[in-house]
Amino acid sequence: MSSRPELGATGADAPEVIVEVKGLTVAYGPHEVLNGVNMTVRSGELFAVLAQGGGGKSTLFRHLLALEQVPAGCIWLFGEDIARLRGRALRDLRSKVGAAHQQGALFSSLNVLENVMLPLVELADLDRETVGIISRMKLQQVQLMEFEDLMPAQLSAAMVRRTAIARALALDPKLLLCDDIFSGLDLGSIMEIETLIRDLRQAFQLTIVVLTPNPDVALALADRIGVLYKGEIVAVGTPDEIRSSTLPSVRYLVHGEAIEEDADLSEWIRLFGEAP
Amino acid sequence: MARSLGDFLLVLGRPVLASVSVFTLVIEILFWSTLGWAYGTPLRFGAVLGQVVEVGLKGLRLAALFAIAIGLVIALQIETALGFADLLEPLLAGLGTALTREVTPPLIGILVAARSGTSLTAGLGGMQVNKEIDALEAMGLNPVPLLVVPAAVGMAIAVPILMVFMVGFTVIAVAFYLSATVGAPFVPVIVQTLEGITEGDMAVGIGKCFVFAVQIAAIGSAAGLATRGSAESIGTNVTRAVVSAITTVLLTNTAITLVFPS
Repeated sequence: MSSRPELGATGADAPEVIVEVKGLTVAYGPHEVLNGVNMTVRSGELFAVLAQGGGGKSTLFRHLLALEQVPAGCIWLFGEDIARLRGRALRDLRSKVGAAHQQGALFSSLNVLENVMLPLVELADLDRETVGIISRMKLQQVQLMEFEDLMPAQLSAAMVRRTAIARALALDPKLLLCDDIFSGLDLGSIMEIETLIRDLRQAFQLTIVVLTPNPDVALALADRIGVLYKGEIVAVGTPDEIRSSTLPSVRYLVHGEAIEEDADLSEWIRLFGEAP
Repeated sequence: MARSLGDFLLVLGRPVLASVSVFTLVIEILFWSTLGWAYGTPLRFGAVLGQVVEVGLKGLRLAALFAIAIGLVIALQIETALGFADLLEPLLAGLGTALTREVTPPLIGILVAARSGTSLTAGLGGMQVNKEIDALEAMGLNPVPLLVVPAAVGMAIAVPILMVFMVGFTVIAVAFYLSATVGAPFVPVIVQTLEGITEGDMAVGIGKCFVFAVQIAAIGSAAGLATRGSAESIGTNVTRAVVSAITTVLLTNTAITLVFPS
């Protein structure tokens, strides 16, 4: 459909492009959820997608994980057009991507340790003892060592998210995608998981994409934020740029300011043009 | 007009789509259970054993209850027939064949569809709703060889075994009733009934159970994997799956009987 993007296209020193989305359009029946989404995430970057509930975060997340066919547009991960990948090539790509799902998506019949072990048991050619050691290291990284025998139903919401992150990191991915992992958490737990994500990024030079409806999380955590509003990325910028944006949709999502129905949008269209 | 035609096609299309997904799943089950090892996905014997225990061992009590209830009804009919003529020997000779080929396989199919098929649909449906299937696929793991195939193979092993036990329990119930009411000798009644079962009867009975098991597993799994949205849809899909499975079992039973008549 479109040619592969140039990696590091903005200059010789620019980090490698890890995620490139161009014109992603997804509709469920007559309802258009994503309408030409464009975004670029570079190596080592912590990129937040800020959108309201029902704003297409999970749809974007599922498409980034190649769980759905891309109906229109293109997604490249590590320079590979995911729509063209099949079989082993797709599995190899997925091994470079860790996913922490909304509500954790832990396997309810497995305990914490077994949840983290599962990807290693199934996908890594390692003996059981080594798998156990690696899994416990991952649990140590998320401070859940002493809870390895608990079942998901016995965990608090924050512990579920930590386990989900540990499982996502089991295969040492280069890219971590987090779908709304802060929802339903108290302020203290949110701050703890924010710190955990920062530490993990630092320790493993991870590229991280966090999808969240929470502007405080996006502003506190991300290097750059893409604001997804009505299916489009309407603004991309640093937390300071997003915080001070005059764009009505950004102010609505970040500051909760109502959008006036007769607001003159010509100024922000002039400033921002089409979705970046 | 166009709308009503669209609605009609939608109504027609849903069962067609469901049938296609079940058929595809049957092919996948057969593929992964026989050739999975060649593609680095060998059969999980632990999970298969777990399913054999779940379907076979844990289903045994209910199967025994079914068998005793059916056995007593059959014995009651035999007792009535004996009032007209001395028909015990020919009746017992035919009873073994009837039980093995025609009565027990669909009964056990209905039992397993209601007990284990629903459990499979609810389990996979719950995993869909909780995004556990998404998590598996995101890791690059195929849920069919991981979750569906062990369940199908476990059922295909357990259901024929369950059938053999159920035939045995039914015969014992018949012998018990006849010995208590008309004074027929307990052990000879059992022996005569079992002697009436030929190798062909056993092959058809076991073959039917094997086919039913794969059908129930495929229908249950397809309904579970098709679950979307909320927990409510799990209930809807469980109902659909059990109705489809029981209907399929009964229709397949008739088809096999027509192809392999007694």
